[in-house]
Order: sequence, then structure tokens, then C-alpha cells
Amino acid sequence: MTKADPTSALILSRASALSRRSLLQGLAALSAGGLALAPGRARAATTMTWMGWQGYETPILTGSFLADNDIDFQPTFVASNEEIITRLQSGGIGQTDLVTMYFGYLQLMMDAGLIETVDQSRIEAWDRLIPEFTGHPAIRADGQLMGVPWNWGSLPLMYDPAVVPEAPASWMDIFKDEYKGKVAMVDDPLTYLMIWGPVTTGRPDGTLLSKEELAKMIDLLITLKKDHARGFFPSYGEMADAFARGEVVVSALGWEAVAVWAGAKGKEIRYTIPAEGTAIFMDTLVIPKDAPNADLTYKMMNHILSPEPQRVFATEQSAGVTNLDTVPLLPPELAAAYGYADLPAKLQKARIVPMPPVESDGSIATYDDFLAEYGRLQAA
Amino acid sequence: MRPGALLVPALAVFAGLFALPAGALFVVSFWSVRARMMRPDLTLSNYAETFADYGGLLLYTLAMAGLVALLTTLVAFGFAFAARFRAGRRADLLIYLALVTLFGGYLVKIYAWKSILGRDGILNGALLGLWLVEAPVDALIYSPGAVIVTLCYFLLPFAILPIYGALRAIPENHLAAARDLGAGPFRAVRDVVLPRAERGVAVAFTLSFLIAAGDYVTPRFVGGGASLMGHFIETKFTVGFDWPLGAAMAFTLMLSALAVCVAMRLAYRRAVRP
Repeated sequence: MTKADPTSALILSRASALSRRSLLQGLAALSAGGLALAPGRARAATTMTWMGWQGYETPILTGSFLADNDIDFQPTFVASNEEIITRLQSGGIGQTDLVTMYFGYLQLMMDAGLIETVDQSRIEAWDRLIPEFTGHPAIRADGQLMGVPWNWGSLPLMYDPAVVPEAPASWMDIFKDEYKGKVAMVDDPLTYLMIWGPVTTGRPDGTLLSKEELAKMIDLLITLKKDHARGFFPSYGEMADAFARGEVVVSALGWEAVAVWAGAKGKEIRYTIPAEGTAIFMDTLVIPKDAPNADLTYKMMNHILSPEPQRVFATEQSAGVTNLDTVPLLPPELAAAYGYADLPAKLQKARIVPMPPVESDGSIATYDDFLAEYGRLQAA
Repeated sequence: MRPGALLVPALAVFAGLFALPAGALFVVSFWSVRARMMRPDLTLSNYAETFADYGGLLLYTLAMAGLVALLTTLVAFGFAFAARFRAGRRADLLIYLALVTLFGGYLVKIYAWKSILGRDGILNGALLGLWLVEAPVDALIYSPGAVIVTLCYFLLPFAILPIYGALRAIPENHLAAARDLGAGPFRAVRDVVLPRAERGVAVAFTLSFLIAAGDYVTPRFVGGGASLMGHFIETKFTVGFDWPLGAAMAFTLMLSALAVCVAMRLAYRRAVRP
């Protein structure tokens, strides 16, 4: 997912004022004659480094977790999941305590030696997490847990009810002539595969495609981009802006938050899951390789997964949460929007779809095959 | 202190922050990737793949960058010439105005152009207000033209300054002498100004060209999609897990861009030779 709003296109790395103050205090104490004179906080605080989307740090900041554990919290905000991978590859290993990552990249990161396995027995809320998520094979490699599901959302079709009074029944409806030049697209590779793979093939597991099917899907999207799309936006924030300006009226992919952002600009945008269904994204808590503070990292994960931090996060971000004990605490309209009352039914329409394999005997297109084909769409 | 010693800090910064990382990346461009891990190797396959799969995109990127650099340099030359030879005491004010556009971030400028070129932007508002069009013109944004306009605006001050610096070294009376000897205004500029402004023009073109060739943010925000080489290089370093291919693409783009700059300078020198 490329979930950045326009302002988060810049990478923001925020060093806390506390950290600088502590450092200065420490230096002052050293110059005065020795560490013994340094304030306790400068000596005891543990620096913990975290990477994720802006807003995803909310549960960590909720309550007194940081103060109780004397943690100097150092968040790094990213503009894409891929940026986390790049940062870990280029010096982040051994320096980073915790990252949040879309589940589809876990196997890739494990193969690349970027992440540790998670000790499931140390996740206190494990038995209260949504079983459809914790039981999904995509979060395990050889039986070992790679990441812990902590938030989720679906990828619906967005539309402007002022122009499109009836919700589109099929994803293919966006090809209608009346929407020509008014379709929103976002440069978000995996989401296209998750939505348009099943649409192209008619199979729910349509992310596992032959190379011919993959080429057919990309050809369809190229037609959409060339003949119907208004723009191929760099982020969902840009898409929300385009909806708010009335430049687009339907979308080729979506995210519930787009409706929230457009609403903040005074534009009502609705979303629907068409007959072909859609996919969901599920973000996980992941421990990078050689994370420096393992015990505190597990403490932090347990805090993030506990009901109150999950409630605050879900309410502030209009997000889906994974701890079922959180659901009774949610505003009713938010709980209804995510369908917690009948999650199996919701997950029938919005599915967790498999990622294309890293390697293949040739019968199924690999992740690299997909990226190569996706390049055609980007360049079209 | 020897005069050369003063260069040491600058050379150390250049070596540490550019030469060494670039050298490391150049070495990586000959490596290979297996099972998502980089392996030391000595293969040219990354360069072969660059030309085979991205040759067309490379040419398109160079053509777009060339057009941006050409337009930017032409406009910058006109501005700098007016400031140097026509503005008199207001020259400093004009140059100051050009510098003012450097204030504010790169993304701020991109969003400024989005607000000008957008469907409900200033330009469409003006066209509608003047009854020149009946409906907003959608083609103003999310098109190659929007990318060119935005990049030209961003690069203009970088091009004006070196050209103005070069023109400052040309005494006004040399132009007057040429006119006295019977040269028309265009002949005087061609024979007196252009040859002596070569270095400034070359720097302006090179800066504009290299920045435009490497840019991938502007096309994504106002071009309606990723269309230049830079975006595909970024992809190799991120979701592609293929740093060697990304490095080969980056060096191919860099060397191609430098070749274009050298060729343009030689062509310029030949064209303005008296």
C-alpha cells in the first residue's frame, strides 16, 4: 500500500526533544567531572527505534508505556512499505527495534535476512487476536511466526455519490464511457494485483497468475490508464485531493481512509466492495534482524496490541484493529464499518490473498515477473 | 601554508560523501542477485539488461531532460541578458527576484504548480472567467507539458545565475563597438556575447539537464504517473531487491547524461564560432 498523504511524501525522521536534552545534560555532566553527576534520566533511558507510517506510532504514545519503561522513543516515518525495506538493507539492521510492515512483504524480508522470527508465546494477546489473521499461512515461514497482525483495512472501490448515485456493482463498471477521464489510479503495485488479478481471472486466488494471465491483467490496466484514467497518482492522499477537486469520480483501487481525507476537505466520498470482491491489507509488527532491545521490543508489541492503545489508534485513524477485546470499546459506527459483528462474512468479500511466489517452476508468475510487468503499466 | 592545502577539506568532503559511495555503487553494478541477496560478481548482465529493457525509457528521459534544459537555458539567457544589458540600475533587483524563487521547498513548488494547472486551478479559472473555454481544460495537468513547465520553473534560477555571471564579464562597450562597426543586434549578440558566455551557458544547461534527467518526483505529481528513468531506478532499490541492476541503470543514466552535456557544449562552441 502507498498510504502516504501529500505531506508525508517527505521522509520525516523525528528526533525527540527529550533525546537532545538528555544528550546535552550528559555532556554537561561529563565536563563537570564525571558520569556520577549526570542526571539519572540521561544514564538510564533506553533508546528504541521504530519505523512505520505517520500515525502508526499512536498506540505506542498512548498511556504511560514510554515513561514507565524509561524509553527514549525514536520514530522514523516512511512514505511507503518499500522504504522500510530499503532502510533496513542500507544500515538499519542492528539499529532498529520494531517496524510495522504489510504482511505481503514478510516472506521477502525473511528471505533477504532482514527480520527475526517472533516468539508467539511472548505475545500476551495472541489468543484474542482475530483468528482469520493469526491463522493465515502468509505470516509464517516454515511454521515460524514472522509478524503479528495489528491493524487492517480493505481495498474498496471509491466513488463520488454526487456524480455516481448508485454504487458500481462491478470493478469493470469503471470502464464505462461516462467515467472516461475521471478514473483515479494510484502507483501501488501490490494492490493492483490483489484487486485486478481476481477480476481478470474470475478466481478468488487470482494473485497466483500464469504469465499469460499476468500480461492480460496488465494490458487491461494499461487500457484503463491510457483511455480512462485522470491520473496515476503517487499516493492515496493525492487521490483524495483529486476526489475533493471533482477531477475523479471513481477509482481503480481504494482505501477507507480516502473517504475520511476527502471528507475533511468537505467532499463526501463513498466506498463499496463490488461483486468480484476485493482484498484486505493487514499490517504486522515485525522485529528486524539483530534488534538491539529484544525484551523491550516484546513489551512494546504487547502494549500496541492491548485494548486501549488499539482503541485510540482505531478511533484516530479510522483503522481496523486485531484485538477482539478492543471491539466493544470502539465507536459503534467504526465497528459497523469494519464488520466486526460478522467478520467471516466480511472476509468473504474482502479476502486475504496470497502473494506471488519468489520462485516458481514456470506455471505461476513470480513476484519478479509481476514487477517486470508492472513496469509496463508505469511506463505506459 | 601551501595553496593546495586549502583544497584538502573540500577534497575530503568530495571523496567521503561522493566519490567513495559512488565508487562502491559502481562496483555493486557488476554484482548479481540470487535469492534476494547481493553476491559479489563481475558480470555485465546488469548493463545489458538496462539497455535491453530500459533503452527506450532512457532515450525518452534524455529527450525530456534535453527539452527542459534547452527551454530553461533559453529563458534564463533572455532574463540574464536583460538584467545585464537592459535593466541598468534595476539589474540587482531582477537578480534578487530570481533568487527569491529559490526560497521554499521543492515540493512546495510542485504543489504551487498543481494549484495553477489543476482543474479548479488559477489558469483554468482565468480561462473560464475570460470565456475562452466552456469547461476546465483537463490537459493542463497530468501531462508531459505540466512536467516540463514545472521543471523549467524550478530550474530557472539555477540557470540564470551562471549565465548572468558570464555576461557580467562582457563590457557593454564591446557590444556598442560591434554595433558601431555595422553589426545588427542579433549579429552583435551572436558574435560578441554568445562566444564569451559559453561557460555560463554550458553550466546552466548542464545543471538543468542533469537535475531534470535524475528527477522522478515531478512526473509523479504533475505528470500523472511515473514515466522517467529515475522512478524505475528507485523501484530496483526498493521493491525489486535488485541493487546491482539499479546501480547499473543509475550509472548508465549518469554517463549518458554527461555524454549529452559534452556533445551539447561542443555543438554550442561550433555554432557560435565567429
